[in-house]
Amino acid sequence: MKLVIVGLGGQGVLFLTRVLSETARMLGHSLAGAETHGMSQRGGSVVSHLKVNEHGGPLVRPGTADILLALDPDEAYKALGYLRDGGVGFVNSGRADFPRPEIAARLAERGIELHTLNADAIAMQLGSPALANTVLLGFALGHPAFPFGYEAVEETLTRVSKARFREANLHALAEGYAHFRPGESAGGKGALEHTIQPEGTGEEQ
Amino acid sequence: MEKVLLGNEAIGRGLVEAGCRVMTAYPGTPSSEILPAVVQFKKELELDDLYVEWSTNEKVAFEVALAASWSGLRAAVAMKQVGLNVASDALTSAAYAGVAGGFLVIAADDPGPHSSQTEQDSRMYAMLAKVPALDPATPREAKEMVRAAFELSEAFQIPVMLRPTVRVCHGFQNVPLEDVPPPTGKANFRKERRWVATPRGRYFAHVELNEKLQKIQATFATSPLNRIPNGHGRYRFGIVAGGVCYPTIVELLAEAGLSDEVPVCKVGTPYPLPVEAIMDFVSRCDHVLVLEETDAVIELQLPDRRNVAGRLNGAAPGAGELTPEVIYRVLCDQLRQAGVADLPAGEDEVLQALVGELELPPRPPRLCPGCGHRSAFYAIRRGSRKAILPSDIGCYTLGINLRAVDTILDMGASISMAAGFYHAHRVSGTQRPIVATIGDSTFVHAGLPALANAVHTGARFVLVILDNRVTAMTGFQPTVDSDQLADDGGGVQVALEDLVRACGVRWLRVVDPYEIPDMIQLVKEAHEYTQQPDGGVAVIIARRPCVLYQREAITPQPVKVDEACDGCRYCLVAFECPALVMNSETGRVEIDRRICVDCGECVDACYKGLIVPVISGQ
Ligand code: SF4
Ligand code: SF4
Repeated sequence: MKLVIVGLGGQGVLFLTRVLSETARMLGHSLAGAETHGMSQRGGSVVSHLKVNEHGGPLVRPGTADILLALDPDEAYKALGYLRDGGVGFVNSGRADFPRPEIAARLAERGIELHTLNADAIAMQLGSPALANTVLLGFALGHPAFPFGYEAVEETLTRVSKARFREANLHALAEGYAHFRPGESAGGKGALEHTIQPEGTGEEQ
Repeated sequence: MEKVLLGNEAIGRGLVEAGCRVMTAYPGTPSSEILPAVVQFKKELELDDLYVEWSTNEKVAFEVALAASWSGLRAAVAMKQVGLNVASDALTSAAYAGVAGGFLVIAADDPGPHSSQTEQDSRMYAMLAKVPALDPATPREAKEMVRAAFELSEAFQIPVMLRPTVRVCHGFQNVPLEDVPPPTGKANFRKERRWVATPRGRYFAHVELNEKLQKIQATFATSPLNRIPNGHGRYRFGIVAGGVCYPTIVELLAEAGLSDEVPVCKVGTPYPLPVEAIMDFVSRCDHVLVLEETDAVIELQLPDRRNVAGRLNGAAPGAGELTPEVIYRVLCDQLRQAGVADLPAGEDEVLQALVGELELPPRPPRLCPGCGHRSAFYAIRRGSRKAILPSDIGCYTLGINLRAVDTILDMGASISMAAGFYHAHRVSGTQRPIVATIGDSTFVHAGLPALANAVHTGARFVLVILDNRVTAMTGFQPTVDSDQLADDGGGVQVALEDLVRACGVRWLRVVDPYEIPDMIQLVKEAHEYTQQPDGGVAVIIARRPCVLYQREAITPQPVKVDEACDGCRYCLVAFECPALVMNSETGRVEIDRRICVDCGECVDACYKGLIVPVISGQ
């Protein structure tokens, strides 16, 4: 199982990587991967690679990832190439035009699913924009293709969160999870864009 | 027990498990997490007999650790690859002198480069200095190599280099942990002639060093750190791979179903290369592809390269990281040319083209919202017209986004180059104002000799020391003007003001860069001082804690953009705060509340006065 997590420095890509790698370890899987540190952490593009029960190097080769988590729509575009045929992407985006139709069509041809959620808006409602990463993770946990179950991630999240953020993180995970509508991903094949509105914001996605 | 560790943490764990007693470092990506890992294990395991220090630069770090080795203890020093340039004077001489306790030089390379000014290959330094180099492929192996390196160092009385690359340093993996033995041995410096570098003694030391290397090369031929396919089998195609290229190519071959057909020779000891054993393998292959980062160190040591492709003949690119996709492309080409296999294209070119058409804006790194450096740069730009703006290495390199940075060379160069710009213009009869900027940590690292030099030679320029109280870019390591040591408090504070005055500077002011009008005024006064008959170098210390490190240092001053904003973009360009964004629908600038830290600094950035404080109740 190969996962790629992308975003901009400061959006909490590293935190999600830690939560998922710790979950994999707790479940007894072997893992390898790589993080981005340094200059890019100041708002530049940040990419994490995570390989569970795979052999080989730390990086995921484009065209082979099962799962993509993207905290920013532009970074998502740049990282779509990582997904394999039939892979699944989860994107934090509040843009009405994401993904562009021509790109959605290409993804559909390859059986790639893309699920979008305005995790930023939900996080703002929860009181902290920094929670968008955990919201998106909760959202992804609703999909059957995601390699870890909700309880397992919840357990590691409880453990790796700093005490003062623990409750907010767990709440954000639950909120994100509640926003995944399994019915909407039915049909499996084909790129589905979900228009999921965070309650009460009235914002168009 | 197993734990998920970053490569750097695995190296730190390896140091502790191998009984390292003194560990020093200067922070630099991708090496910065090694020392903190040692500190963490030291605290966890209550290893009171382990000394750790963040030194003021890599040469100092190297020499402090080397003295521990010469006293008979196991010692290690860690740095990034360009840090090794700074420590190279010590490294080359230490190779001749040798060591007593095991001595490990950890130099972390940055192929890409992701966070460095060069892509240089530290293994080249191992060749230059004539010390053995180990090149780990994974975090797990990096930890194992630490122990092997200490043993090698002690067996041959020689410094040993461990050269992880960024993907090992910031790669992670589950790593088995072993017990940490209780410390053994006491420091006991013994007087020996070899510790004193005299030219005549050094000739004999060089002869001896060459002999050591020959012996080490022989042991490497059978070392488990290498996996050289032996036997008599002949192959159409073979691979020689070092570092992280090894697990990558093994994975690619497995995916392509070629694992049985294409043997891979793993090189963990690139210098001195066990040439005979590897040439035996090379000679049994019709075609050989060498994969290594970042330069061609393995390849260069192969005496017969007629059937060898790699970086040198252009088969693999001569610059940049060998990511899986790059290696896959090289592999496809080579296998096709050799007539061995025709692999499918690796990437979805249709998708790539579609994404390319979006012309997504690049996302360069930027100073954080509320960063005091931004205010300082803004004040410098406002207080100086047509100035030359040499700067330095750190977060504030990103002052380039505010057009407040004209040159970046290496650590400390802002000050020496400011002096050089001054002298070059003066001697040819022209004059330009000059404002150099340097961070507090970089100033102490390499700025001090440059400042004494500039004052002594009568150079005239303004120097702004951007003092944010920490080494921010690399993860907030303490500097000499704090009382924090690597593992605890209790450090003696060395004041920047004292250091500046000790270099002979006679005009020194300290300012909070958040007071933008004050700082603009000071910059102007500083320029005036440089023009006076008895003027010289004027120094301003712009002091304001890093907001990412000390958010609480901000007194919240929420601001809003008035509806009269006409979208002229002046603030976006001149102040460049990531939280100031253009709303393309309203045509007005607005504040991105997700990342704004309410520093209130942008009030000065709208010359029309349309960024205004929010009065409570509004
Ligand atoms: S980390 Fe600190 S010094 Fe660096 S850009 Fe952010 S606020 Fe500025
Ligand atoms: S107050 Fe202004 S300068 Fe400060 S973070 Fe917010 S937008 Fe940026």
